[in-house]
Amino acid sequence: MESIGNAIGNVLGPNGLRIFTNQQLGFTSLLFFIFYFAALLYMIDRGRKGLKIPKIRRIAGLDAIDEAVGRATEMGRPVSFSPGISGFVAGTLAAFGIIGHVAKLVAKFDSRLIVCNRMANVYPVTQSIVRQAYLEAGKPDAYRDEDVRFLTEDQFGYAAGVVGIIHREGVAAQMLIGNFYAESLIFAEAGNIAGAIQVSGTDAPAQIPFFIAACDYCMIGEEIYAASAYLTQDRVRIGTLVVQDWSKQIVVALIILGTLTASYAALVGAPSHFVRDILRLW
Amino acid sequence: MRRTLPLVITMVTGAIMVFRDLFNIPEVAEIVNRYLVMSYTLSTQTAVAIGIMNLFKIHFNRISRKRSDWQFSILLIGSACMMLIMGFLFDLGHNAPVYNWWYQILPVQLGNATFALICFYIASAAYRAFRMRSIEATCLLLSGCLVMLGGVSIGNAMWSGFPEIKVFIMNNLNTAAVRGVTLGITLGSLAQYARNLFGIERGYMAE
Amino acid sequence: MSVYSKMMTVDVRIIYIILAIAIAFPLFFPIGLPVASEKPAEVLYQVLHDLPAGSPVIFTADLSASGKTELQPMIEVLVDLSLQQKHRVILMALWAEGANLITTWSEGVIAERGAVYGEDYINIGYCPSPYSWLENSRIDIRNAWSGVDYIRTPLDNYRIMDGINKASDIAAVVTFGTGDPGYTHWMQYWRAVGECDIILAGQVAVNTPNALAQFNAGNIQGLAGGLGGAATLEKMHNRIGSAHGNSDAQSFGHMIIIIFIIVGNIGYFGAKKAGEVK
Repeated sequence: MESIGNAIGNVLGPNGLRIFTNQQLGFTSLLFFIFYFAALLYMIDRGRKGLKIPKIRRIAGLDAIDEAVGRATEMGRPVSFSPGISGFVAGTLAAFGIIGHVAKLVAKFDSRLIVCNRMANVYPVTQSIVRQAYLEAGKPDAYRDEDVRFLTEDQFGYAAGVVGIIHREGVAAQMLIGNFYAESLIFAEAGNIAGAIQVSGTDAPAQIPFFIAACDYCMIGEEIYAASAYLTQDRVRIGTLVVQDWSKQIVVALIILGTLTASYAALVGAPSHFVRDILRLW
Repeated sequence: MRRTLPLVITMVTGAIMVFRDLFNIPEVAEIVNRYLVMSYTLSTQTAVAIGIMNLFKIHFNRISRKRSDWQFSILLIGSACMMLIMGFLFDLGHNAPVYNWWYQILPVQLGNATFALICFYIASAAYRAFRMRSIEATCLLLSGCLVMLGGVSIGNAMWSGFPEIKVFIMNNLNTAAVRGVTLGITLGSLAQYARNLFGIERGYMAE
Repeated sequence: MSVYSKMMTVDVRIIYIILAIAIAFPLFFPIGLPVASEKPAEVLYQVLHDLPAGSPVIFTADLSASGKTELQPMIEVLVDLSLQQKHRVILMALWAEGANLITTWSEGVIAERGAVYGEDYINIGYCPSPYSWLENSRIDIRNAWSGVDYIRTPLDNYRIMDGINKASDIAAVVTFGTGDPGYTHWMQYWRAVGECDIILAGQVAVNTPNALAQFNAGNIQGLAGGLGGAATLEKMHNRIGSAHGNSDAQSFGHMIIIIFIIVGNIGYFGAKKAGEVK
């Protein structure tokens, strides 16, 4: 009994729960983590039971996807898609949801989709997504293996490759959705010079200004994570977006409260303030 | 099975990784790192091999059908094979001096040149986009110009206040905006990962 | 087309040519304008400088060759500083490209200092899966990948590795980055779990706004961003080099961009007044 107690104490004690070592945010992080996942499960349950779920607001970038594909079809030129330059991170996972939708549209309209991959481990996934989309659209023969490409894992080699494809193939619509770094502006400007309509979205804050300046539509940050929920209007997925918003509201409330109490503490010369003390609860 | 197995693997491995990160148990961490994390390495490198095969297949096709610019495909395959063979041939692999020399004169310089294009593209993008069409656009324009001037020596030479204005904008306005966006992205990515973990979103399975 | 409309729609090729000339000019005819120091870079230098002798410091090249202009001067200055302060310098890379580059870009200063491989510095190379290396090194840094250095000699053979067994034995990480994986991963995998308290970042200018937010939050302990940061480090180390030389070119480039923005806006307002633009 004592050894079990010791073992539990070791796990839950100061050196046990790893979250405790994280700059003394300790217990609060654990509570937030538990709340977040409990809320997720609650909203997933609500969605499955058909109970009321709030609606998503309009996201211009996602609405523009249909317009972009339509335009490319009219012009008889291909659509280009880049799912970012990172591996299986959130931005790339979000891009998977959009590639499927774009590929179905392209297959439906008998247009052409070129997907350029930088990461080798993302390439088989995008390949199967596009192939599956053509299959579901009833046009498996229209799928071309060489249209879903792995270029190179070199960042600027990939950028050069994509620019070359944009100009040689004369793409009429370009979609840049995922996690990007410095090469983002190269893609966007090349698309501009080629006269392509551009829909972009990234969760890399440093690249958002470049996309806003150079692309026709830009989804900022977490808007790309809403893509699959928005495009499918699946209630369960929308429910998870609601949890995102709730957690943001909690964090904003803490920020406001923390700012006020910290300012008051600074004013009266107190060494600490109660919000910070609560957040560092052991 | 085709749909269930990937879901089960995702959920189980995700749960193991979350457990490993939440609880500081070195024995568990070692087992997870040795087997699970290493297997990610192996699968990634297998994917690289598949990607290279696809690349070669596409370019061999271009060469055999003499599509436009097929000569560049020969260059691509030739240079890739050359670097691959050198990596195998020399004792030190990619650290061999000869390999390093080739690497420095070709990919490094080409990468630099491509990166340098950004300078020109920024100029054309800024010229096109920075118009005072509205109050927000004017704020964007002014802050952009002030940060550009404050970050370079000519701005400092024109007026010593420019670097201070730049520091103010970067430390206050920029930091606040980046934190706000980063906060949203972090919480959103948590939901994205959770959706994938629970099998709600199956984009990676082509569904 | 009126003058104002023409000012609004200058051919981009003209912009590119003027920009190219403006940037090339100070490279051939250096002007030597003084560079303002950047506080985060000064902090980075000081933090590294103040580490005691014998501290193991990792210098990691999480970069591609595109970062040469901004990051090579930083690498040269900081590796030289560490050798001067008798730190144990450990070179490595999380990017495949970085493995060759960290070797090439630091060999000059290493030769100048007469540093001995295996005693003063070591190069542990690159792991094909950087995320797994970051995880595994928390428990066993020597065997996190293959247990050998970049010339395939076992790490156990080197005196410099004495007492360095896991991440918590490292005093500081100095990461030079152009993207992902980069400083955020060092923060997440090492600092956030208490393995290493000091993460110092040298970043290209594009990543600097993001990195600055992390510096202001205290998640990284020093930041040198872009050419300005590199020039600050050079100034602090009394090693004026390419960062200073390239700053003039950067200045001229920025001025041309600002001039064209002004021209575009004059054209916009003129055209708007003339009713050519709504």
